[in-house]
Amino acid sequence: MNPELLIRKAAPVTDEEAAAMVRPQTRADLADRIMATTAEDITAEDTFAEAPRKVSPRRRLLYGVAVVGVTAAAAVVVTSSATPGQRVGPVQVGPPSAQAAALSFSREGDYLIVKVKDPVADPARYRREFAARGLNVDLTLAPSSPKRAGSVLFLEDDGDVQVITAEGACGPETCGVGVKIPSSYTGHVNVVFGRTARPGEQYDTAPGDTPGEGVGLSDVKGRTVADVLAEAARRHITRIEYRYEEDGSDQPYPNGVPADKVDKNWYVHDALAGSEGQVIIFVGPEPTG
Amino acid sequence: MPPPDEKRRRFEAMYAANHDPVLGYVLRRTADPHDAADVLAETFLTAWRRLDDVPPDDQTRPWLYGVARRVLANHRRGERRRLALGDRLRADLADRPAVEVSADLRPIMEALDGLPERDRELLTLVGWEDLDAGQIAIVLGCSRNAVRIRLHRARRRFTRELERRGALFEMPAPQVGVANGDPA
Repeated sequence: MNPELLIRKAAPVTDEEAAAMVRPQTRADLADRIMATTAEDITAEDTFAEAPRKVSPRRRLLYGVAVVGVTAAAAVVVTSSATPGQRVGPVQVGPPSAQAAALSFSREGDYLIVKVKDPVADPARYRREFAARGLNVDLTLAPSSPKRAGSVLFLEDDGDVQVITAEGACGPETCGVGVKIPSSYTGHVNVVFGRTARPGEQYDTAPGDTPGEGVGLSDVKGRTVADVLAEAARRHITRIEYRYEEDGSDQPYPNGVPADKVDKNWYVHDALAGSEGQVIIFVGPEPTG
Repeated sequence: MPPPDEKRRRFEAMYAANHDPVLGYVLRRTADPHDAADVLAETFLTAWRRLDDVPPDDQTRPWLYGVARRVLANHRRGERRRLALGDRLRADLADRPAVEVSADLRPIMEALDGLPERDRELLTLVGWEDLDAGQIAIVLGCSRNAVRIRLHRARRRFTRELERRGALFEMPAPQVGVANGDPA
């Protein structure tokens, strides 16, 4: 008997898969940066020690949805979609028929096609309209980057349910997304679609989003610091750290340049999504680092 | 102290040969891309600083696993350090699709999770990193003999955990050339 052979089969990631996740330039960049560290950096290491992170459940869960599972995602759904002043839960004005339907239902062969008519509706309304047809479906639209709008951020079902996506074409007003459910289906479905974030609304995608994009700072390369900060402010992004780059070097700021040393006329080379909603901006006096 | 160029050359060779296996080691043990990036960066930063302590040849990789293991343990205790070094790697890893273990293999992961950390580490070092008792001794900093004894017990406890979960697996027969060619 050899339990290790069983354990081998259950390895979450192979070395080859791990290797494929890292871009060649990232790999070379890390080696260069490590070899560029000096004795001073080593004694200064406490300056970049970090206190235990506060875990933001919402972001974490959206990142881990495929692994973590349904209950987690359901929690995401409810919290992420309730904005201040929005009615959530049992509060309802008038009978359901008095409200315009948030979903449209139609039949296609053995399938029921459900499309979203109101992409900014309270998720409780979707649930009620599904329930009225005997379906157990949690459907939510979470604010996302335009690129992810209309695509599926998360799906959990017992099989056979198909999703209708409208990739990149899912503004706040119209949305072609939906689900296609077999008539015989009785299980639970949980699906989260992206919809274009409203101005100033924080993306509710995960840290796994495209670098810089999950925090709403795409296409920043070559823009000035002042310009990018203005965009960050519009998106209510306040947690910003700076990294210095000049002529391929991070000297004299190997551990990041303090905000008060950053010239607003410098250029932004890159913006990455840091942990827990923080943005890391690579800056320097030249348009490229 | 070797001259600077020699030091760089040694580090670069070690980095090239071990970057992927060490990243694999870390990613198999944490689902958090931020932690994984930091652990990888800190492991190789440690190797760079202590280059003269890094053992040669086929002992290098187990030594690096041992460093990664300690850094990872610190992270689990909440002693995280965000290294500026790891920023780009963090972004690359955060972009990866979530990995899902297929349903039929889930009992194996659950049985592993049900074991004490020490057992789990031993069994996965054999199953995932393909190490033998001598190499594991380097990772854990103990004797080869202690590894054999602990491994024997860990196998028993793992099998019991699996049975307790009612998981029925046909245990594959040991094959020639299996990593733990050092039967306990």
